[in-house]
Amino acid sequence: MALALAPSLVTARDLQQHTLPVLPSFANLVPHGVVQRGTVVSCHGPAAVSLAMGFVAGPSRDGAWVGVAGFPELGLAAAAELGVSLERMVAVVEPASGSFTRERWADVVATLIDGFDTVVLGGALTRLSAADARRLRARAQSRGAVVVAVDLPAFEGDIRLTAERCEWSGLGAGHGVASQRWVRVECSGRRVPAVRRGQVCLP
Amino acid sequence: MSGVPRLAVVWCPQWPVVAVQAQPNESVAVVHANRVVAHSVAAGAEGVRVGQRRREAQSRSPFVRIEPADRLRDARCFEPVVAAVAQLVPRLDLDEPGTLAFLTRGPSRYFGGDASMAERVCHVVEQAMLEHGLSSSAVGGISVGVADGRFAASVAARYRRVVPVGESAAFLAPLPVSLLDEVAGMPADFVHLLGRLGLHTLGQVAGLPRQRLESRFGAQGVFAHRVARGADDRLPTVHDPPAARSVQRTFEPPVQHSDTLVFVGRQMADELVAGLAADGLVCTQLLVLAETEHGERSERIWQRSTGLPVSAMVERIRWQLDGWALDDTLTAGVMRLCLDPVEVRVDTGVQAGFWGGRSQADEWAMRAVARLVALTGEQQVLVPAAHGGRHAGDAYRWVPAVSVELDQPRERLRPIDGPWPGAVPSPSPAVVHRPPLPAEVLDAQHRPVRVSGRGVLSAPPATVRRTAGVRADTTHTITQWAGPWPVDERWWDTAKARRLARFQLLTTEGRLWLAVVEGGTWWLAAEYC
Repeated sequence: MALALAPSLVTARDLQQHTLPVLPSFANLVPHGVVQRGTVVSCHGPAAVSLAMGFVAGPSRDGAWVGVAGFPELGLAAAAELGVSLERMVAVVEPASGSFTRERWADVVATLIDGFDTVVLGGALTRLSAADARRLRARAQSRGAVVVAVDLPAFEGDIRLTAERCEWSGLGAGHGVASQRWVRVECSGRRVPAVRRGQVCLP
Repeated sequence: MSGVPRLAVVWCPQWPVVAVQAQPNESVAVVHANRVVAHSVAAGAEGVRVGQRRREAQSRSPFVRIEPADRLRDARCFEPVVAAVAQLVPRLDLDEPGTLAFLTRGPSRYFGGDASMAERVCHVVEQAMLEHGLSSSAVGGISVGVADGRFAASVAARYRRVVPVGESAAFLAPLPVSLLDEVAGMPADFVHLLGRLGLHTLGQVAGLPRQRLESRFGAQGVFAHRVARGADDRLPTVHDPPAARSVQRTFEPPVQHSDTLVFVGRQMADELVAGLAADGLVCTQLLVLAETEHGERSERIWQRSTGLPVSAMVERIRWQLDGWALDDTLTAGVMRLCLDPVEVRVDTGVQAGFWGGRSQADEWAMRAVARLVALTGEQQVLVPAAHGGRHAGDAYRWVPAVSVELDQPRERLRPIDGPWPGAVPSPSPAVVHRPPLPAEVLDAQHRPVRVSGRGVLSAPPATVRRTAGVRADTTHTITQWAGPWPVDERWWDTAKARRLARFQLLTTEGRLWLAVVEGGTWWLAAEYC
């Protein structure tokens, strides 16, 4: 009897506290149309960065802060166009004179996970080992942060978004200008029961 | 107006300037987050104003000494002043470093009247500052004011006046409403609105019916009416707190470090604020008491009419304990710390801004930023700021988080006025390489593609290959492309002039690059990744 009752104890408010919203264009792609706190999302393929920014745009518009680690080459104008609120974005970069050690990066990411709802990890974090990634995943789960890793093999995503094909329009042979891109995205991973596919316009 | 207590306020203008040990006639400005928060008289004469950007202040006054703001330093330097006044009067209320208040009834009678008491206090304070190497002459000196009610007394201090009993309202009437912002700490936009409504003096505000102000402005209007009338800014809802509200901790063994005490103080403040909030109350006067093993005590009352949240309580505990620890006479560790709400009032609530206002997430993020700065350094923790320009990645730049106010992002993200003719239209590239990656672009006959001075292409590009970096040496076939879009920038300046042409190159894998050819060399400046 207790088992049968258990699911109804989860109220709508609980669900709201344990999830973060995503933009409508991603809602059909991820299970239940929301992202659960504590999830690790990994983005791959030729549109990995735009996918990551589009994914965090949902929580960011909802008031979440976005921490960015090891991603100095991120194009901020593109992030803003994809819907990320730049007023709630903070980045940690390595000094020009030298790079952080593996332990320092692990500390930085752990601090970001403690303080921010969403954390984006960039190319400089390839130095983190699989063991670091496991520890950080556990931390994200206990603190309720969503970690979005861009092209990092160590972070195997609970949700894995892969850009399979990009279709640019507006561009010709020597004329025009790229104006719109449709990306065919495959969504797989441990928290995705069946592989889903969909088209996302980025932007 | 018999219920209004008569208070004396000791006030030092621009206290942070005194705390950085400004010399008389020296031009000094104290800067927080790139904005001037305090300046000396000499700097003011040259046009430096509170709220200016650092650069603007420096342009007005080229030899101004710029010092970073440090509230802890301000509080520590104020401690000798507090100690000196505490010799004369039994009970002090502290607000911010630079201001203290006390009830005049006893002291005035003892020193023979308000005027001679004010003179005496002024003299004692100047003496104490002199002993500690501080001088207030750079900011125009310490002043003491006496009047009925806290607001009137604070204003009287600014005018160095002793207002006779019962004449606070008459004293305030001709004064400008801007004092509500400067002295009473009311929101600047509210005070500005009063001015636009034609209420320029406090007397005009006091002359309106209270109900009218209440119906138009709510609790804020009532508060403004009360203080403008010369009544105490202590609201009628203020009362003595319910019994057994104070929070205390005993340490065994005694604590030697003030950091540990402040850490415990935060937990205590959390507990106190949560307990009061459960009853719908907010603390406006807090007594902080610390006692050592040998019975030495530090006891201070901190007053803030808008209410003391946890962060303000912790800040004040730190000020008090650091100031106390500075005193070398302490012989033992602290054994007892006690927070006692002396005065509480009903929490009328603060209406959060329609757009924004700080949420719990913001609070956590601010703390995380402070930790990250401590962990990695000030130059490593960055936030976006609008920049402007026509090249990829010029619209926004990263700036150090410590150089801006994190909770006021509107200004730093306001787009820089364009237009930027020649900028590549949106969408913008998601990855901007700085510096750009060297590359090689060949035509169908494997000859390098060139752009002439008139922007004519030697042949359509066919392949692109990166010549350095991790993924060098893979040749990508170009399926579609656009360009050249020439830019001839700053041709009037030989050192900064740039002539270049931009292309968009789409490869078979669906990767779109923004390529630049400058001086015959190809670079991949950005990728629409």
